[in-house]
Amino acid sequence: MKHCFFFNRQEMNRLFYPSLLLLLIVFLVSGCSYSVEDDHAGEPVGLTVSPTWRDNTDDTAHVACLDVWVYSEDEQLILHRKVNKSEMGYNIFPLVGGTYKVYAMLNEGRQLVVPDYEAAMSELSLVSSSPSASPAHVYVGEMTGSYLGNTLSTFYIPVGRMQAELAVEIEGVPDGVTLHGVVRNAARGIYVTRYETTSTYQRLGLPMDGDPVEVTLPDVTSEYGWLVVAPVRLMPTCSGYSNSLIRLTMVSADGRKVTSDLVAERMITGGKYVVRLKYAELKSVMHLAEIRISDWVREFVYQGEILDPQ
Amino acid sequence: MMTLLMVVTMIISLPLSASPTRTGDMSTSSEKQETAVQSHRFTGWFAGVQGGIPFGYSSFSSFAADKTYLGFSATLLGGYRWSNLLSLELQAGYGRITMGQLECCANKGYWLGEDGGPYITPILGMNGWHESNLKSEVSLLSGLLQLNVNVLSLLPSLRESRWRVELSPRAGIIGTEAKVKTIGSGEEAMKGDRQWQWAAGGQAHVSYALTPRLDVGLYSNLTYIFGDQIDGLPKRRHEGNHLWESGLRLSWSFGSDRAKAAYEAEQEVLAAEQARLERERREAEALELARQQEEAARLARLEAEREAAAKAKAEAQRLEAERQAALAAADTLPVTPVYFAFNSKSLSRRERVKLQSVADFLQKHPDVKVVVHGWCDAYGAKSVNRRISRQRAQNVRMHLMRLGIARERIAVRGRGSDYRAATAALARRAVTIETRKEAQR
Repeated sequence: MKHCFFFNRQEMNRLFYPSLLLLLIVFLVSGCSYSVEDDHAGEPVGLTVSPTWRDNTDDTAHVACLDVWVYSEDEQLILHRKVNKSEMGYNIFPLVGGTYKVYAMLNEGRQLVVPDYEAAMSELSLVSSSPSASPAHVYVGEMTGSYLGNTLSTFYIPVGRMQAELAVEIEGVPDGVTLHGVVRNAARGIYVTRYETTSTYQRLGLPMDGDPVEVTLPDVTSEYGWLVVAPVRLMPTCSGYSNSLIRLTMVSADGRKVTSDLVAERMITGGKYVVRLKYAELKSVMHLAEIRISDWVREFVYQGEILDPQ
Repeated sequence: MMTLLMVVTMIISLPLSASPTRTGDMSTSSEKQETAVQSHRFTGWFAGVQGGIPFGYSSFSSFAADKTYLGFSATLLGGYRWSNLLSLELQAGYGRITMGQLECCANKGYWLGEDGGPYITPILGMNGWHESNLKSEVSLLSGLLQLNVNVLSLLPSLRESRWRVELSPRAGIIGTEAKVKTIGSGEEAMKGDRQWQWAAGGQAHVSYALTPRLDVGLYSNLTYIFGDQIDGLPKRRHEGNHLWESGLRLSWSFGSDRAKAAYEAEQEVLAAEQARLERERREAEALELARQQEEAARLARLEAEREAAAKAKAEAQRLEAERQAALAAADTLPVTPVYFAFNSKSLSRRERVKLQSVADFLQKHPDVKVVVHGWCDAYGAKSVNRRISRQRAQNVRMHLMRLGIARERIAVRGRGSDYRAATAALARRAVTIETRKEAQR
């Protein structure tokens, strides 16, 4: 009787096919038990910041860069980092576990700058380096939250516009009339970590007071009976002013000049405003009423002389 | 589920598929021959199909966090088998798999930008998708060359088995076309062009020959794709990029007449060899039987001789006892004829023994003289018979002289033919008689 290892030939023949089947079953199901957890070993951990739109109408807005300030609970600056758009998806802050207050700012630079990145949290501000309208919005958001540490966690921070947005539409305008507009009491800058609070709203971004700035709107010429100034971005109304002051100067083709000073509600941080007038109704001074279109959009219209403007 | 079904089918088929080795002790020679023919596998060209459930593993996996996605595949194959050990085949296959994000990645917040970039957080101002909300549907086209090695043929006891266990390295190209879609709405997020990439791997295959031409079996293979991820997604932490597939396989051997003839010739040679061995076995059995019969006869003859010798010895003892009794009873010369063979003058050993009693008597009685009478049968010339009868008497006297009896006490006479004897044998004799008594006669 021949032997092979522990078994003789008959035993081998008896055991062969059950062993073969067992081997096959193990092979067939082995793929289910494949562990991939170890692939994540050594993966970087920390806090990431992902801005989201507070106002969904901004979802087509241009995004150039992101600034993030991380403060401790006692408002001590832990770190500040600025990344461009392509780096935003990898922006990991190596932090220990704790509670943090995080500010995210989009599109800082060029005309709207942060003069002192290391400033105390309450003094962190955004100022306009140019009196003309900005080509893009700056968005700011804040979030206070806990990070557990040793994990990869994300703070999704809703960001909103810091500037106001103003458009002008005047109908019934003779052809060849040129409009030159100026907002006369725009703020010099915004404290981005402070809130502007009234009885009706609370909004992140407090306009600075004092030293109002005149912001010039782009000149336009009437076409098809309309004068239309596309929305421009400008600082909200300076704190301390109860109204926003807008001066429109129209010069007809024959050189005749018409000036109209508009008095409207304050333009607040992130608000969108449209001045909608009729050329025939223009007066030298006009008090405009505000019509609420949405949470963010208001229309300034002329509804006749307001006898007792506030 | 399908894999389990196939395994159950295999288990059920096992009792019906006992190998020749297992049934060999119980089967007759004709059954063995039949089994041998059925277990034969044709060499030459073969073709078949295989189909099963493929799983993909890349940045995404078929074993996703939300569910396990079952794909399907179908493959046409064809090849050439040189022997039960080796065959080479070409496979052309089509399949579809769906993959989703792995569970270990689901809580990482991975985000896929519209630029194809792998990010860990969404980028504002860029379209993109959380990968946990995506799945990748991949269509597969493959062309692979596969070398099959039947390991069972390496085991002598299983070489003729109906089973075949093949280990098969394989290499070729695989074309993948991935569509990345959102899980809920099925909205297409990204779509890539078909990419052809090199692939290599291996297949394990267990099959059973239902007939000498038809094989059915189970297979499982693992194929690595070299190059971009098959799911169309960017590579993240997981380095894998392979396909794993298990399923059912059917193949049909076309074989060739020459191979069949070679097999039949081999069977004829085997049959002739078996006949020769049977003939030699029968001849050996006949020789053994003859040898046994001869041995039995020899033993019987020896037994008969032994019995005859014992009988003669007993007779001699009886005669000696009678002689001694006669000597004791009467103090006379015993009448003891000694007989001769035809035409012989010599005394046989047995006859010489008889003369011992005569010699004893003469020793005891020194004064007694005897005469020896010789006789012949009635055949032959009288003169010759007279001479022979005298010579027979002389030989008796010569023997008595050797026993110590003096010559002068013994006279001899040739009496010629004895016509009165009952038989010729009784006539051919010599008788010793006392001289005194002779005178009395």
